[in-house]
This record gives sequence, C-alpha cells and structure tokens, in this order.
Amino acid sequence: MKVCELDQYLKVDLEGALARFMGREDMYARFLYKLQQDETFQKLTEAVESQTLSEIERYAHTLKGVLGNLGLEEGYQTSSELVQAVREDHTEKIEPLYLVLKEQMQTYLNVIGMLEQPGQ
Amino acid sequence: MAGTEKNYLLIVDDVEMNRAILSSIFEDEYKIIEAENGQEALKMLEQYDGQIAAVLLDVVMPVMNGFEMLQSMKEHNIGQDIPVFLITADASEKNMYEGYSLGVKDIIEKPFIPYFLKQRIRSVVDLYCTKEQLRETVEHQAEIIEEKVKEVNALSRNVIETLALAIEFRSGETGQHIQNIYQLTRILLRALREKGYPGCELSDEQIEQIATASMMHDIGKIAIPDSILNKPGRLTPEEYEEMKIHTLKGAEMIERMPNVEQNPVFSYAYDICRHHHERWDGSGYPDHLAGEENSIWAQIVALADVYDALVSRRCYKEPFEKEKAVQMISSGECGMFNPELVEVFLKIKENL
Repeated sequence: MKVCELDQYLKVDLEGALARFMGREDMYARFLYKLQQDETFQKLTEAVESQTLSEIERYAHTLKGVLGNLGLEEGYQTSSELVQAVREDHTEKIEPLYLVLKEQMQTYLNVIGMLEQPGQ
Repeated sequence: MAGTEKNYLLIVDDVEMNRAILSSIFEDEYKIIEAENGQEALKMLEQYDGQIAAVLLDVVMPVMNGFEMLQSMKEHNIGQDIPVFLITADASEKNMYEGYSLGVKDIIEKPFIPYFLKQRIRSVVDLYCTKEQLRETVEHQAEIIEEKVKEVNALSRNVIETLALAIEFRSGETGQHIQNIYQLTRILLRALREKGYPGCELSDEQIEQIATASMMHDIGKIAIPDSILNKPGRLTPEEYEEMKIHTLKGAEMIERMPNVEQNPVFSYAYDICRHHHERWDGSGYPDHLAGEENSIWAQIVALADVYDALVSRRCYKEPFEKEKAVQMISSGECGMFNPELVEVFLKIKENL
C-alpha cells in the first residue's frame, strides 16, 4: 500500500500532512513508519495507569504534536482533549479519552503496518 | 535573505519528526543546526555565536524546556540579538503571554502550514538584517560626520586666525600676540575649571571654542583709522575715545556674520570683542560692567591682553620683564581684575 492510499483506510489529512513535509512523500512515510517504534503512547499508558497527571499531560501533548503533524486527525483531536481534560482538572474524562485514543492508535499502527516499507 | 555571516538556523525540539519537518522547510535557505532541549541549544548559541539568524523553539521538552531556556538566555545575556520563534502545539493564552514576555518574536501553533511559517519567519529575520545594516550604516556615517566636523572646525579656526592676523599686521605686529592670547586663555580656563570656579564647568571642546574666539578680540580695530592705530606716542583724549570704539565695532562685526547663533565660537567672540576692556571695579569700557556682570571668558581675555601687551615691545614702549608684568597685574596697576582670577594667574605664572 502506498501513502496516497491511506485515506481509504483512515481519516487523514493527506494534503495538509504532505504540505508539512514539503511534499516529500518518502519523508512522510518514514515518520509514519516510525510511529511503530514510538514509545510516547506506551509512556502515556503507564502514566494513566499510575494516574500521574503531569506525565499524562506531557505525553498526551507530545502525541498531539506528532499526530497533528502526520495529519492523523482523530487521534490529534482525542489527544488534544486529553491534554485539556488534565489542565481543566476533569480527571473523570481521562480514562474514557485514553481508551478512545488507544483504539485510534491501534488502527493507525495496523494500517501503517500495511505500508510499503519506506526507502525500499 | 539572511545576512552573509548569519546563515544558521537553530531548531530546538525533542521530537525528531518535528525537527525533520522544520529542517526540510528551511534547509534551502539556511544551514540547519538542531538541539533536543534547551540546554543543548544554549551550548549551540555559544558555539555558533554571531552566525545564527533565528531560533525555532519548542516549549515542552525534557531537561530544559523552552521557557527555561529563554529565561537563561536573558539572565546570561546570550543571543539577545537573535529572533526566537516559539513553535508549539499549545498556544494557550498563558503560554503566549509568557512567551512574549520572555522576548520571543512570534508564536506559531502546531500543526502549521509551512508556507505561512516561512513567510512569518522570513519577515522578522529580514527586519533584523535591515536593522543590523542600518546600525552599521549609521555607525559608519557617524564616523564620517565626526571627521567632517573636525575638518570644518579646523577650517573655521584657520579663517578666524587669518582674519585676526590680517588686522594685527595692520598694526605692524607679527601675529604672536593672538597666539599668546589663545594659549593664555586656554591655560587660564583649564586652571579655573580645575579649581571649580563657578561657570567654568566647561568641556575641552568649549575651552577650545573660547580660546579660538579669544583670537578675535581685536577684530574691531579694522574700523580704526591708521593714524590712530599706528600713532607713535600718546593718543589725545579724542583719539583714545575713538580707539575704544574697536570693542563695539568688533561685536558688531560678529553680530552681522551669517548664522552666528549656530556656532558657539561666535557667541563667545561677541562677548570677548565687546568686553575685553571691562574691569572688575566697573572702570573699563564700553559698558562699565563690574564684577561678575562680565563673563569669565571676557575677564580672562582682558587679563591676557594686558599681560601680553606688558611683556611685548610696542611702538610706544619697551617690553617689561615677566615678573614685573605679573606684579603690575596683581597690584592693580593696570586696572582691577577678578581677585580669584588673579590668584589663578599667579599660580600658573611659571608656565608662561
């Protein structure tokens, strides 16, 4: 599967993302691929489990930036709300938002796994 | 475009993807250097001192975050002439206030559109370049102006000296008199300034201006007929009255010069021409000024004029010895002078 076919499987802002990577599909693909090794979500999971608010905020924030850049809109939206929930002290929202994000991340990783390995 | 020597762009972000994105946007315009946190970035600012055109700074980073880095830059006066742009996923009001108060030039929210980002950064960097160039231009021009001012001052001193000399030649003298007055006026002014005499808190430049003006003290003599000016022997009372007019004529000449008020030398000269024959007790002429009614510079020139006349050969007299001349001035034989001025004069008499 090629990068340009992503939107058949995901809600993704291909145009915006490619513009951010200066139209360089290979670079975009490389960073999508890297999401598989990215530990941010794992760290967010640990933070949610230990209910460490500052860590939840920090990793959700990082994830928000990454997903935003990659044009993965739903995940971007959810991580934004998660950051917001911590800042506004709506702790009751954290768990449900986390679960939504977890599902979105799983979908992303599945679809990305189907991409042709960049640079090959 | 960035200036020739400032062609580095420093990107500070802990997320590799963010650095890669920014780098790919700017790599055709700048040499890119990257840092993963504030601490690394501070090191780079020092390492690349004077070569960095702009800093793109993330806020949330481990070790040292963006705000801490800005704070540290401020405290240690690092990179204060480099525009810093915050690139953040969290452009909340609070963050924006904090960013701007720490001196960032613009705040750009992630995800951004590269084209707009480029434009915003370019316009600020261009502004900085222009500012820098302007500063250099102004500095350079200031040097030129200073040079020109020196030339003009030297030229105007030459003209004044020539004018004074021409008048002195008419009286059959050598020009030594105006040189002596110039030197003596300078020495006395400096001595009075050192003593802290009121009104003598003058700059070196002002002293130079007054000394230059002192050379003009007798220019009014151009209006005095040869028969009086060069008469050997005593003047009749009528002739003496006419001779006195040289003070008023001199002042009048200065007054009629164009743009007099723009050159302080001429306002000193007006005073000196008119009042270098006044005396401390009010017995001088033409305005019978007494005590401090007369300016200190006119008082100084009056004393210098008398002293130099005493020690010089004139068509009607032989020169006095220096010691004798000093004694005649301090005793009041040649009219009363400001006692404090005389005191200073006695102190510097060894340098005469």
